[in-house]
Amino acid sequence: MSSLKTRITILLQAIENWLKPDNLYLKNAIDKSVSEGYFSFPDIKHAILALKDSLNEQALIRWVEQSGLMDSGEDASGKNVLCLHAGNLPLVGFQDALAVLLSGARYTGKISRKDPYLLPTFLNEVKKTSGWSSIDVQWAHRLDDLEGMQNDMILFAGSEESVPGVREAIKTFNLAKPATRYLIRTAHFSIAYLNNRDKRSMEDLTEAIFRYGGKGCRSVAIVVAPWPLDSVKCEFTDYIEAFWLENPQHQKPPPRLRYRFAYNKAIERPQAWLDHFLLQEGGLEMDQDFICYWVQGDEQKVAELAAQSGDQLQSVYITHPDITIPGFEGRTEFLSDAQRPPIFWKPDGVNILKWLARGRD
Amino acid sequence: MQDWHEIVFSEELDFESKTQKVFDYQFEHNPVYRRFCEALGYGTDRFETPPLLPIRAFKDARVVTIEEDSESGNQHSEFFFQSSGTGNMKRSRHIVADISLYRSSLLKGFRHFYDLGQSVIWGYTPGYADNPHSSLVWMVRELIEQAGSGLSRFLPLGKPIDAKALRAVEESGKKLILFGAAFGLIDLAEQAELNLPSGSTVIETGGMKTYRREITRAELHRRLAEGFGVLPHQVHSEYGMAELLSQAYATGGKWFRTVPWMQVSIRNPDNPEEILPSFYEGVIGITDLANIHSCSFILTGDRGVMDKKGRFQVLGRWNPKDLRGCNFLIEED
Repeated sequence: MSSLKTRITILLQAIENWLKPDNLYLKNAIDKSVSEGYFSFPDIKHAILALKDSLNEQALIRWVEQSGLMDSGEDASGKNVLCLHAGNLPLVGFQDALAVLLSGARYTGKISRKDPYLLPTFLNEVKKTSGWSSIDVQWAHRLDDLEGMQNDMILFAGSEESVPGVREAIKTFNLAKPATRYLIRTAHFSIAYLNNRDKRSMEDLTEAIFRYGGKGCRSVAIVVAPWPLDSVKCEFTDYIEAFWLENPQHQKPPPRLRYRFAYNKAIERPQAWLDHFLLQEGGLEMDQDFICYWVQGDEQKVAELAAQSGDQLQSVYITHPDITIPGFEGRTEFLSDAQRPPIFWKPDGVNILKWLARGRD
Repeated sequence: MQDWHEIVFSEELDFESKTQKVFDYQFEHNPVYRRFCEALGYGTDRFETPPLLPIRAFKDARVVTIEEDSESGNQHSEFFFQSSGTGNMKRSRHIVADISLYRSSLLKGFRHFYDLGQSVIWGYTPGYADNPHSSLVWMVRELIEQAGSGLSRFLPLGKPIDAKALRAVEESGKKLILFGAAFGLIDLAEQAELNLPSGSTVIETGGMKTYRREITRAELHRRLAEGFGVLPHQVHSEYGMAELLSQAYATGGKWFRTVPWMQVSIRNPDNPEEILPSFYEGVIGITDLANIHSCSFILTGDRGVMDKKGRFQVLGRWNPKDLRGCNFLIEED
């Protein structure tokens, strides 16, 4: 495997080729993803533009520096890494794939059937380069197609309930060795602290909640604000409508969302019914998608809720650098970055590149 | 004012007619349920199957059906059952406006499955004085009182069963029914090696989750049968909760049957208005007509399945899987 610097150079070239407007493979993958109903065009476009903005030489160098790869010379060369990609958002597996390639390891991907076309177009560009051969980068859409390919590291997203099933499948298809290391993502949602109602913050909040139908772990599921929901409902609805005009929600909620709306009515809980989404004050059951919970409170309340959320929490967002969330100093992110994170963002708080190359975060 | 005892327990009226009357009454006089129905587009003109109110409503609101303009409107009791829980946990509160109706439901229901007059009831639960709002304790106390014979009683907690008391039951010629929460009964069985008299029945009322470790109902029954020296079919289960005034029983085996004024349906968790066909797993929905003064149409948080005879199994708590984020089951991906 080539040196780290060479890998960065080659990957940047592959990324540039991949993102060229005349890349027909990517264009076809986008068309098929839209026409077959996997994602909406605005969501795919957003995902690709967010990657484009975050993928440049400085960003990759910053990532490898943060991971200590530059100084230590450590990498994951010679290791086999299996990524069981999720498909809840377009290209949600991109960061993992890129990290594996940057680390020098061999990449094997189980591409999600919910996002079957997009990531392979990038992987194909990588395979065309001199840095990676066919055995260094391979993927399949079915796990049994990878049977017997034993891996040193396995990455997947799961929950307490799904982990045993995934581990069982890994065992069935003989994909692990006794010493295989696992990185299991468990985060499901993020929290935003909204302390002002200026246009920028409201727009950022709208995108943070509603982009991708709220399906990402970076999506805001809980908003803490000094005001009750009823006092901002009308104003907020205007921002939401404007967002949906350009980004119609692709996935529609099941009828039980309407059931929740009726329940909230029954117990006279403040809420805003948005046809395909529900904002409700309090009642943080976190038991279904398409609901965003509004909680009246301050920074302390954010800290409390974040602590209660445990490993289901991805990020805590703020609107201004002066805001401090007790216990989360230095770990908050800007609300504006919720759906356009830097390439080195840390899913579940783990620097994936460092984990791959150095065996720890 | 309607005589609800007569309607709920009537053997002449069919279940659908009773349900219609109860729905009309609750729609009119239960503001929580009315708001719920209206938000779903139901009214007295759109009846079909009454929508099921999520059981959580008993935690979040005062779920009562009372005719405010009736003369007795302000005479309803404030007696209530409360779900078990600890510390600051939010607990369900079921206001029981007519305790005599609950008594009737409980006793008629029990007699539907067991011969109370020929039974000695032993309850292995905390005492009533310490738990006046536990529906289980209230139920066992009532059964003890109604069984008479002087042999029925609450067993002292943390102590093994007295051999003399066992002999007295045997000599009485009556059948022993030992009632208790699952985990409590296991503890009791482990305290001393004993065999209950032949023909005894052990009725567990659930509560496996609070045991030292979660066990399946089959494993629980095996351990209880072994611990009490009875045959597996003599270990029964009761399905009840603070929010319901009727109970279902599994009298040997895993299938529960309801009393005639209670019906169960299995609902699609993604669309609780949809009733699933037999043997499909879903959320247990209950119509309990004895809940006339609260809400009779309840969507529980339990997972279950039903057979073609209308019997049902309780498979545990419903655990929503489709949380946002990258969570996925590989076989479902």
